Amino acid sequence: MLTDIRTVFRKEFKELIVATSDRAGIIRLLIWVVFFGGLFPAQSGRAWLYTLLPVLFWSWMSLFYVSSLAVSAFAGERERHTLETLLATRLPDGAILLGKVLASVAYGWGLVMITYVTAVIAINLVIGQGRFLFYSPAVALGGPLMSLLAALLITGVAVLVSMRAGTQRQAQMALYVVSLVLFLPLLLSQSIPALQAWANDLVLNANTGSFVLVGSLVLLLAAAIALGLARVRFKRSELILD
Amino acid sequence: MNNIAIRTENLTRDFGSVRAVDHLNLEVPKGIVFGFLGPNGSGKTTTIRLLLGLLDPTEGRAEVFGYDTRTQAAEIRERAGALLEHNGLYERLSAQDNLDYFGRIYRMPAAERAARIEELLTHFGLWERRTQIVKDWSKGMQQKLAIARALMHRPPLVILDEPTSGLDPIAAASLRDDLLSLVEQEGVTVFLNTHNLPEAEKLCSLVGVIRQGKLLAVDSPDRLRAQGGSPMVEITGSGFTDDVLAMLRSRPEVAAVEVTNGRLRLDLHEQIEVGPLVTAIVTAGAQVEEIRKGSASLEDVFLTLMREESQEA
Repeated sequence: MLTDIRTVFRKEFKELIVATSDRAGIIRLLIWVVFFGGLFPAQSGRAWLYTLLPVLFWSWMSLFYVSSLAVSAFAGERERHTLETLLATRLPDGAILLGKVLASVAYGWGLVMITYVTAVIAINLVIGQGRFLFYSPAVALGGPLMSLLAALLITGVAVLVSMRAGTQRQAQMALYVVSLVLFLPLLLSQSIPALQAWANDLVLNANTGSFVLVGSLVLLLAAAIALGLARVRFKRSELILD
Repeated sequence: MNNIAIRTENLTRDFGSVRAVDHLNLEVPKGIVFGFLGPNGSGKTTTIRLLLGLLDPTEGRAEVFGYDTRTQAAEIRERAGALLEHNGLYERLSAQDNLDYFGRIYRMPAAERAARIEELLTHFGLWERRTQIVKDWSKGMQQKLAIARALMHRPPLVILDEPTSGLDPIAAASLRDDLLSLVEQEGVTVFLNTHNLPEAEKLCSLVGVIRQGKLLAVDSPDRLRAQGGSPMVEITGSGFTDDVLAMLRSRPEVAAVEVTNGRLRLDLHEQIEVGPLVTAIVTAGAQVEEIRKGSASLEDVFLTLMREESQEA
């Protein structure tokens, strides 16, 4: 099973690299790194190193970026007419699922982690003044952990959505609705002054360690449920839509 | 030892109220090319999906190499190579990467994989282009690569859905030779879905004709022609006037008369000496340049079966 997972992972990862290594892909990646891994953290200064701000931001980036990769890996493969040929091979259902999940998560989360590193460099260049500044322990560990769990959660949801979606666009639209529901409280809070103040206070002054602990447990539970459901439902006979 | 590669018993599959495959009973011996003929939407593709265990039957059962498609599909897929309705190539990857992926899926060792990739790509004339991404290739080249992929792990069962579609005549003929040599030298069983009746006639030692999910006939092309089509005579010449045609229609041995582009086709009730018939045509005033005796082609049999089924429906 591990060899099969590695086989699928390897091919999926290679496809992702090829798909994003043209000129447009490289420019998008540079913009991503410069903006989210340079300008934005440098503008936030020390708050980026010691508050919840980067932890929430990386988790959101993971959700946003990995969702499109996962949808492409599942609904996109059906739309490109390669899914049925893959299902006609000896690969077990679990290996196909896990290989694709891990490739989407590794690639998407890997990009988020590039901004984790570049942010430190940018902040040190702007406000370091000769002293090396780094994240607080809660941010340093919680950021990668929560963004990884968020990536796993959204991949599980993407698999479930892609199971019944005829096209990548249909699956993506369904995922946008799910994301909107998840982020609706945050969006609403920004339009109500009292809630906005509370949210800002939470982000800047909350106990980061406690938040990371509780948030990680919640995400872990949600990701386990989503991936568990995906594993149960990911069957060849369910994937042939007509 | 069981010599049957594929056996179906009342195999049935419904999609909602539509019955795609209807109580299909079929036996395909090992080591032959089996041609599955039928119009679009007749249930050919659904049958392939059922045989590969990609769909569960609504009723009945099927076995491939003795493995049940419902409970032992993994064993079947281990032994099958398939080119399905779409070529299923990863267009962002190179030809070499596409084949390498399938070699890895079937756990071929690295050296064997590399040798097999070179062998197949060289054979199909694609070796020089092995590092190019497949997206930019012509449909025919992609089809050749998809066939190479189906053969990559040397499966004992090869399932091909319209394999020569998009191939030029030379490549199509070469593929037919390859399939025949696979069968003759390696004992591979080929399950071939096709609309191309002359191709089926050349390749297949057994054909099944399916329409609206029902198997209408299954036999060798020769026997189907013998059963399904009456003998005929085709005469090239001139002067096939209405009087000549009326005279021919009145003769007891003649079943049907048709003139197309100066060619007179006579369908006969049974095999007869055509001398007296030709004498009668000449006596009636027509000129005869060439006479060809023959039996119905597989295409004639196929069309007859389709017509009969339509009338019964």
